[in-house]
Amino acid sequence: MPSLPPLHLIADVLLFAIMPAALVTAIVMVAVDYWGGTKQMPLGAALGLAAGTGVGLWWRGALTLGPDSSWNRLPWLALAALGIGLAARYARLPVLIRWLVPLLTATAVAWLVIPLATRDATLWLVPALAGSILALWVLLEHLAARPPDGSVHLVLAMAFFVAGGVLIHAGTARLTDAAVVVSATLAAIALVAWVRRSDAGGAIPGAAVLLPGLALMGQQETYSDVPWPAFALAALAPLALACTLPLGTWHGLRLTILRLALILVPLATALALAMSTGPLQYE
Amino acid sequence: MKRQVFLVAALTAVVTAVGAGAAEIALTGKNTTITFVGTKPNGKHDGGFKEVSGTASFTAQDPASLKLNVVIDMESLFADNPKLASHLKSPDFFGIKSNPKSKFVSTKVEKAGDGYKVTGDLTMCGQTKAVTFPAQITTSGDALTLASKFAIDRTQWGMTYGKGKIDDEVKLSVSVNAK
Repeated sequence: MPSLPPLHLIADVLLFAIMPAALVTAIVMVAVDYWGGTKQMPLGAALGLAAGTGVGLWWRGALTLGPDSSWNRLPWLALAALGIGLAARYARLPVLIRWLVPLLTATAVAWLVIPLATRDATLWLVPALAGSILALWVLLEHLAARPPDGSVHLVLAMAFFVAGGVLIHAGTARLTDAAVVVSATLAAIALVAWVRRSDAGGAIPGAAVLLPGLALMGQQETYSDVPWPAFALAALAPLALACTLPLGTWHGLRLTILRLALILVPLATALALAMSTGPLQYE
Repeated sequence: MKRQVFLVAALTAVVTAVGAGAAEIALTGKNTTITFVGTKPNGKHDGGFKEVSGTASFTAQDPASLKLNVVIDMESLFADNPKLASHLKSPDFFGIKSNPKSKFVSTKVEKAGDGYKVTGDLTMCGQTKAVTFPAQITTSGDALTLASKFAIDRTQWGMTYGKGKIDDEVKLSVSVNAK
């Protein structure tokens, strides 16, 4: 049985990563709901994700690599994806354009965030990252409203949390902090969406960029024995929710439990692969 | 005419004499050692870099003429714990995948008390900052010895992870024994 981190480290993450991010997210969403009503919940979710993640990342000093690293663009590109997603949602675009928007955004993100030398050396990385972002974006934004109960955001929160577990085994506490912060904001979004029974799908584009982006950054920038499938499984686990597409009549606790169960296997596998490299050392 | 010939001969003799004292030697991991000690409230860790390259040029018997150009291969980082070495190479500290080399280029060496003061530009994590450190330097013929212990503030080069839990000051030891 792996040992837990020391209590002071757990308290540090709770007090200075999870709680500030979750609190800021919830406050923003409740404020938007108060002034705009549940119809504005997509906007509230997007703003909540941006605000909670921004506060959390700033507080922890996470996601800032060397001054010339293109990976530094990841949070800004996630913010851009949030804005583009909202604009596409409110513009009521034709079906074809609605598919083109996430496709072009995902491609641009992958192109801009992967370092030039890596792009040249591993040609398939750009389409792989773009494809992951696109799949997560399209699938999860569709499911977030069916029903609008926050269960998709809860699934994403779990995926980010496990991605944090993979990243800490890969040897980077900074990227782990980033993953945990986003996990906390998504958990807050899930809670507010569940209470208000509203569509919080406005946050999905940002999460769709950050999850595979963080996983790829961790896999590329660290020196560890954690195998690449651990990173890939953590990033792509939410795609298992595609199995619920035919279950249009399912709702409530039954659907939520099914969604959580579907991602358990890939997430548990990701964590087991990461932990197979040996115990963490906390001192 | 005779005066001109004499002047040319005298100039040639001076240039030859000056040139005869100049030396340039290659710095490698075999003749150059760079180690560090990082501390925190309840302990410390040490490590260093195995692969170093560059040049040291100087005039014999004049250590103040020393010019150093050192490149450190960051992949050669080692520590007293293999997992710590991986952590130091990660984006939390050196971010070696993005910054595979660090560099020191000296700009001035001047006498200071019993030893010398070396000033130069240290580039780490993609950022260049001026540093000055004391050193004991001897040069004779084409041999150079240099020994220095000093400290830097890692946060100046963007290594801010663990601020408050890990000390910002990192102690460095540099020694060169080359000919």
